[in-house]
Amino acid sequence: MKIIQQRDKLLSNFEVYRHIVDVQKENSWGFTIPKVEKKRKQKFDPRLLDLEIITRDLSQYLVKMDQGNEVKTENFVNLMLVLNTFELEVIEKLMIMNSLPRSLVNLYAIIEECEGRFSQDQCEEMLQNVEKYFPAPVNEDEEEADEEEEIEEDVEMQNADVQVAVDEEDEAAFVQDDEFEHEGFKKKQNEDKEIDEVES
Amino acid sequence: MFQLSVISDLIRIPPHLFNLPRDISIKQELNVKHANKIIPKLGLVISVYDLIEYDTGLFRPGDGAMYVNVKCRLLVFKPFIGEVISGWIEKCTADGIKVNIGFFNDIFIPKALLFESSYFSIDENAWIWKMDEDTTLYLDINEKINFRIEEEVFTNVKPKGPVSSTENSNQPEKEQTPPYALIASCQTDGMGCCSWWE
Repeated sequence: MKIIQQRDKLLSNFEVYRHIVDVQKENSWGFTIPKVEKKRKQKFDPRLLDLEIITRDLSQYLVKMDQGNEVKTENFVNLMLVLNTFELEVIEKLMIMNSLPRSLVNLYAIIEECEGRFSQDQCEEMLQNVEKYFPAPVNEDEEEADEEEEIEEDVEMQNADVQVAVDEEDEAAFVQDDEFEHEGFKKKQNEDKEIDEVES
Repeated sequence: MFQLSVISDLIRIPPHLFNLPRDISIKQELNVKHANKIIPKLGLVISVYDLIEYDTGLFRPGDGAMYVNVKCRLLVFKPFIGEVISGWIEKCTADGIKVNIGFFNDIFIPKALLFESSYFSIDENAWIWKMDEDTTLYLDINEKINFRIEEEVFTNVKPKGPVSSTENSNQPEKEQTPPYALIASCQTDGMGCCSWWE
């Protein structure tokens, strides 16, 4: 093996994710995309195990970094066009596209000597455009959480109305199951485990 | 974080893949050889990106397989120096913090490159940054954290020999130095836990 060119091109996380999706489709794996069963079942090839592992881990990482399926190509292109109007270096643009800064501090961390090169207004504009094309998914989570809480409250209200004796343990289990669907609650899960251990 | 590298390689295509279109079988063999492996002085190869060119292939006497010269582009994980990446804290020790980004976990933040006036707490097993008199911030395990790449270290790792039965097998295995490790820093504003800066 010979390396001809070390760095031919830099790729953004978005492009990498597109490629990873293609790899998953080719091999009919479904780590982050809906799985499509092939008519002829492919034989499991143990020699491609390494590719499978790296595809799985990398796709999950990119989804966690908000670069997953919901990113639209047009949004990506539009944000890139906006960033081109600023005098940014290529790698700075790349890092903005990868990490999608939501606050001035994060933007300042990415851009070198930001204060000297850009005015406050320009920085604000960049952040607004990031927010416009890539709305922060954190809010959605919070909304969902709010909705869940509301539902829970509703349930409690109903219970109170009908005055049914509620098996507390069951309800607790239901609530927990709900929460565990979010990956962010993994930590909480651990904490709960610890508490259980202490109690037992 | 990711880049494309052009390489040329000699690939052996075993006879049972002759029924596939040539480019598919070449891609598959390249993936088998390189995916999830580290190329010294380059980085961690994710997969083959595309093929640039390949010749017709040659047979060797005594072997039914075909040997093809290929020129292709590989998708390589190799963050550049100064890049800001986010990951999760895997381990806190007195020497520093080990960070995991899912598909790669040999990222280390030594204590000298952590925030000034931060110290390690053995009781809590976490690094604590005393920002000012009243504020203490915790770097706990599994916390999402931003860091800046400072250095990349390649080591030549020799293959492991066979385990000899005469040697004391009870001895705990030494932690092997990874073939490709990244040294990161966490010293400026915007680094550290993502939640601090929101």
